[in-house]
Amino acid sequence: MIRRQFLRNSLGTVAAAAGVHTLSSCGGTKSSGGRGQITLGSYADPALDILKDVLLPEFEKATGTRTEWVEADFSGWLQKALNDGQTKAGAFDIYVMDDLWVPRFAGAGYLANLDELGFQIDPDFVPSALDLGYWPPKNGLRQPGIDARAKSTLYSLPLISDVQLLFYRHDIYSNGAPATWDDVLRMARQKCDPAHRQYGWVTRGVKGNPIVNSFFVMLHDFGGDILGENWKVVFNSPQAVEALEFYLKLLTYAPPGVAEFDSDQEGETLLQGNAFAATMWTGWCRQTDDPARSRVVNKISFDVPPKQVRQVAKLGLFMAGIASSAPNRAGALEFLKWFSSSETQLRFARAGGTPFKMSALKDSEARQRSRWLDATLKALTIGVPSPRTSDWSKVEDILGTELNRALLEKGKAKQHLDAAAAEATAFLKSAGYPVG
Amino acid sequence: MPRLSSTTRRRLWLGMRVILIVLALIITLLPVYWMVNTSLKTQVEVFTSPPTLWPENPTLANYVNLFVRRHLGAYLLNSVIIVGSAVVLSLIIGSLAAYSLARFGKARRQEKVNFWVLAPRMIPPVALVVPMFLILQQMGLINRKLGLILVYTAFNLPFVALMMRSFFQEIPVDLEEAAMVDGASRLRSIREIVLPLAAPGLVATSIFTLIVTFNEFFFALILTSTPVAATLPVGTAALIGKTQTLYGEMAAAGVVAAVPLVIFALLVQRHLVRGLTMGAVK
Amino acid sequence: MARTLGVGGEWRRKSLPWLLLAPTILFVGAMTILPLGYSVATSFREFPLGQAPAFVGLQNYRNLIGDANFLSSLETTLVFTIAATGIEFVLGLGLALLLRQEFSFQGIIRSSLIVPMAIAPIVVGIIWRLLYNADVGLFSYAAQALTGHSVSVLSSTTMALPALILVDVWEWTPFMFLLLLAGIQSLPQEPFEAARVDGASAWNIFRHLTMPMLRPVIVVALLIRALDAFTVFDQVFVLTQGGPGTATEVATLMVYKTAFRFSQFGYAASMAVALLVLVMFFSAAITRAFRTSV
Repeated sequence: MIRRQFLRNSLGTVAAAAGVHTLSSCGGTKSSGGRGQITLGSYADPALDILKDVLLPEFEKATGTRTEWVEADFSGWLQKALNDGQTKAGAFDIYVMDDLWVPRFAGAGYLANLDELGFQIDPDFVPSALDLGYWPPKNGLRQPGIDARAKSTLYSLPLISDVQLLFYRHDIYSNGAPATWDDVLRMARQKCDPAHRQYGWVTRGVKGNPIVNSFFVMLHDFGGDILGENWKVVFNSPQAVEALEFYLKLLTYAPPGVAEFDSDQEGETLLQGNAFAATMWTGWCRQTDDPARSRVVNKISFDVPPKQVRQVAKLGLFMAGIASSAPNRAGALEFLKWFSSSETQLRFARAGGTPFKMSALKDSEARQRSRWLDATLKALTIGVPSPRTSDWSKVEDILGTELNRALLEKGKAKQHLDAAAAEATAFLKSAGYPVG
Repeated sequence: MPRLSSTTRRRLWLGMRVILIVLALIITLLPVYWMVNTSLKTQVEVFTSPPTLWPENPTLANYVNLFVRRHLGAYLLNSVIIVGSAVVLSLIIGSLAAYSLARFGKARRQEKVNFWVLAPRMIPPVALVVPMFLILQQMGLINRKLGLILVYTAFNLPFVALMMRSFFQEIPVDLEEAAMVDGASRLRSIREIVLPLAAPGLVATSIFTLIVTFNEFFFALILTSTPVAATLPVGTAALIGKTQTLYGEMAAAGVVAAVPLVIFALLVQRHLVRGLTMGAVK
Repeated sequence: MARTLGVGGEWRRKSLPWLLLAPTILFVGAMTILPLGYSVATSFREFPLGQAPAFVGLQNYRNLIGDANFLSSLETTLVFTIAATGIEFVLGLGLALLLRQEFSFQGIIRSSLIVPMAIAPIVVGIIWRLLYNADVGLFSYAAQALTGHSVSVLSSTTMALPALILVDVWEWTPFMFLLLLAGIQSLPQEPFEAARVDGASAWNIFRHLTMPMLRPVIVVALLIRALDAFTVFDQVFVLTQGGPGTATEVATLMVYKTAFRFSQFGYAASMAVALLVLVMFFSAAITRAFRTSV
């Protein structure tokens, strides 16, 4: 790859200029040492606990291959993984990725081609989950620079089905889950009691990714979208403005500090019993019934997010891919095959995890133990991911800053959306997108 | 205004001092107390409102979890070894350089020296990731303790050199020259005159270097991966999950990391006093 | 060491300074020149996805000059740096003067005062995040108890940056304190005794004797702290992510986002180089302002 040439040039410069490399020793990194072991690198999150604690030991016993799990915080892991991919250091066999990273990693060649390695997909995969692992994207537009006719190849598989569900207090919503966003607003108005810290809704307000993800579902539910035909920026359409105005109205019933909340504070508010409902990631489901984490044990039910004009859920799956410089490619492939087999997924679901295979999501024993699997399957089916382009992060940052400003000002929805749209359009144009 | 008697003035001044010191202590230690407080709480209690000043059900579960599930013991050991070695190395090498700069450096080169010596700190770490990684990869030192030791030594040298130079500069040259005129070798004059006077500086520099290196995160993150060589800050940061943060465990990790440093400071701070050998030279 | 430091001939005297400096120069060279060169090289390139890096000359720098977001982040960073360093210096000096005489419990008190510095920056961020939390934080609760309104510091565009400055001051005043205390303790005694014998007032002694003699240490302390404040990252990342709006968007955060979220490595490298140039000016200015006559 041409990137390697560039690296070799800089390496040459480094070597020539320095001349202090007295330590010749074993070149290359102390990597995972060959056939008997695979190294999985990941960000930390409690959603991965069951995988780490139960499934990995099972894999080791079943195949004799040792597993080493290396974990860092979210941004730290991103840096490490990017670095590993760029320098081809080969310290990891498997990268655990946020689905947002797939365009970047696959597009830059850091992931091994799973189709070529002979991975077989089967119809038991939830289609929307599996589609996230393809590059170039199966559906939808392809970003400039990517061949519009190139075949969509599989580069990564789902690992944990993380999707935004509606978490609601069934003791407050005694007639069942709110069917529409209007229902949510109504209940918030009726029963909100700030003096006793009872809030109708809670969400993430921090600028950037958190608030965009929090607003995403409502935007789509009101008939809006992020990017339309030919990459045109449409998040300032009349429907989008209506969605944002509704969102801001709903947030008047939220805790006062919501503009500084990220998903951890959002979750904690719900678990403390201070909010009636929220849309949160499935990684939180298990915590709701843990008395060491929650004051609302057995009081939370799960469903797909409410409908308005449409009904969608936001996909935010954890994905797994094989590093293109993996020292033990065969072992990594073996792990992915094993983990994504329907039998293992069933065991995973029964142990409390969130699987990505339909048979596992429908299994009655698993559903008895984890009462959110039904909602998860439904949400995956209507799930929508973020736009599949490596430039999405910048657009998200622009939109997220303006949404945050609108939240702080508690109004001026149209102005802020227009400002964001203008900046985003300018950016996309400069990045070569044919924005109409 | 009538002048107060000197005893009253002194007493007032003493009283003021005490009040100010107590105030400083309270402000300094309140968040520290909060950290210890949080480390003993279960997650559900961390977010209770009103916030509790002492946990209702104090628990050591966070600490246990850190060592049993999150390999903190290994990280702690690595940190001690790596940081200890790097600090000792940088103190020795840096002080040598500092002495040279202080005694033989010309004033007009001061600014240039300042710049080059501080340059590593000026570059935002993100710009250093790939180059440092490549350099160490060439030397085969990725994910090995020696790699981090070298990087940390290199990183601390400028600071140590700069700090110690300023402390050496404070010591008038005549003292050494007087001793050397009296027949002492340069080495002896350094040992008996310069070092004792510079002891407070050495203590301050060592405390700061130790603390900064112990808490260094970025290079440890990029240049190590497994508990073979990874340090405490890396292990601590991993408690920040993608969607959830384990506040109790983080606070516990903060306590665990701070304890060795505070103990070190307690042990060496008695040298943070005026050099007492002045009289001997005269 | 004994061998190189013997009182010897002309050659030995001349080469001694360089011998002492050599290892430091070597290390620093490897750590700065090479990565710097790499960064500059990167800043002249662009990295489109899935394609070879392209040479774009000074395009990144041209974009940088017109980038309003980056320029405003510079402004935010400068405000933060000057405020934080200034406050830390004043408080640190005050504490050092307060505690330089021997007194009971001085060991415990001094060690207690430097604890904030000893806590990992990320944990400092998390704990202060908890303290500042509008819902369950101690400060908000106290404000509520006193005034009836809860206070939402981190979601206020006016209070967020001061809140961050407060965290930095809390964490790093001990640094100033430690250094200045050591500086004061290292000063030779006679000038002070002589001045006291001559009847000089405490203020005059402080202004004309202590401060000038402390100058080398002050310069270093200010330089180091200003440099570190300029490159602040952890607290901002944990506490505000640059928000609310862009109130706390500091330059290092911009570089991080540009490199790792937006994958614009070339542009990020140009930002880093620009920051470096700025920092050079900054440190030259500080050094010049305190030019010693030693």
